[in-house]
Amino acid sequence: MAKVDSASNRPVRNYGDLNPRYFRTGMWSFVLHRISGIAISVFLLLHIWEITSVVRGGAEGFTSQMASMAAKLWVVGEWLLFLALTFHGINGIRLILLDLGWGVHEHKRGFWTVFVISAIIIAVGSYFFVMRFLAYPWAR
Amino acid sequence: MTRVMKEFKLRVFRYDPEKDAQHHYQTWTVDYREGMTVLEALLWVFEKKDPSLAFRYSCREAICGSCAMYISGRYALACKVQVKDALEGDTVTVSPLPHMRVIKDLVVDQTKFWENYARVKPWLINDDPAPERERLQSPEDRARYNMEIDCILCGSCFASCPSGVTNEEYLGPHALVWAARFFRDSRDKGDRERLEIVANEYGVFRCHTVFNCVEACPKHLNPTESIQELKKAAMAYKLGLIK
Ligand code: SF4
Ligand code: FES
Repeated sequence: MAKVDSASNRPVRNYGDLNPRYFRTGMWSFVLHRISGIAISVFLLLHIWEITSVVRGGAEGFTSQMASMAAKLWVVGEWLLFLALTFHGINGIRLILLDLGWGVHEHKRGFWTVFVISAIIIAVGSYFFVMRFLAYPWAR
Repeated sequence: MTRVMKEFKLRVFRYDPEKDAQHHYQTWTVDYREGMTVLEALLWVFEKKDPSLAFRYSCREAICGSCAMYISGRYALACKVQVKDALEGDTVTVSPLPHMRVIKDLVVDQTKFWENYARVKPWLINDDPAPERERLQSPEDRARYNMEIDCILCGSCFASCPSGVTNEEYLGPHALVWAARFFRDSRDKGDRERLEIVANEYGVFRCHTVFNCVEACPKHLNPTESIQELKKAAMAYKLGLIK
């Protein structure tokens, strides 16, 4: 087999469609779903680290761990987690409905519905985060 | 308000495997004519400026599927899309279909595309002895695959799908459209055979319903519709609900 001249030996490709400028709604929700998914997994690791402080330092260790996290920086982190969870969860429902055969012909409307519902929940929820943010010091 | 356009810029992806290590873009100023298609513009360059420009085309009427390209950020048939609709400012940018290996300029290697197409057995499977004249079908049964038979196998959906980009073993929207075409055909007896092929991680379950194929298809098919129908059947099949 004369593979020498086969195109697989020519790594030249057009990656032009990866320019976010050319993303359509479906691509946006695909990309945001992956990013929020990764963010949630990272949180899970942090969460495990945070609660296992009880193993490392007993009840006292846990209490001081919790106290040290009552700071502005962590509120920002929690807020980002809130964004990720909200979008990921609501978009996830859309994906399940799609797999059940709903909305294959209105995929744009589906995207905007998820977008609007997420935006409302995020707007309302963010109020509480702002309150917490203001109440906490930068670090302890 | 309409300013009469005399000329425009055509920016084209160039790559010559014998000379270039990487691709670059080359721009020409092309004489415009009312109603000009992007394919005409490419032919204009080919005739007047640079006969080494490589691109595929044949029918020039959006039915052979040869001229699918990535034009100003959209998957399109060069023979179908008009220059005036593809302008970004005063420029039309023409690139080969994304992610497929470029052989030269706008010509891509379609090997995987066709291999995947063949994997779903895109032909009628029915070993019953054929009737004297033909296998008849009611108009209603015939209408069940109205959408799928409009596919011209241009490759746009295959190139646009992120699941296919990361794994070329994924059958791709076009192959699944054709699997669905025969799956929906009342004369076809190959349901089981085809479900075996599509009901796995390189088939329907790799579809993440991104809808890029729907946005890409120049014939306005909804490949996701076909895939979702197969997905449901595949689930039932795997759960043992379909014999
Ligand atoms: S489904 Fe549409 S985009 Fe895909 S190969 Fe067929 S005609 Fe082209
Ligand atoms: S040349 Fe046949 S589809 Fe464009």
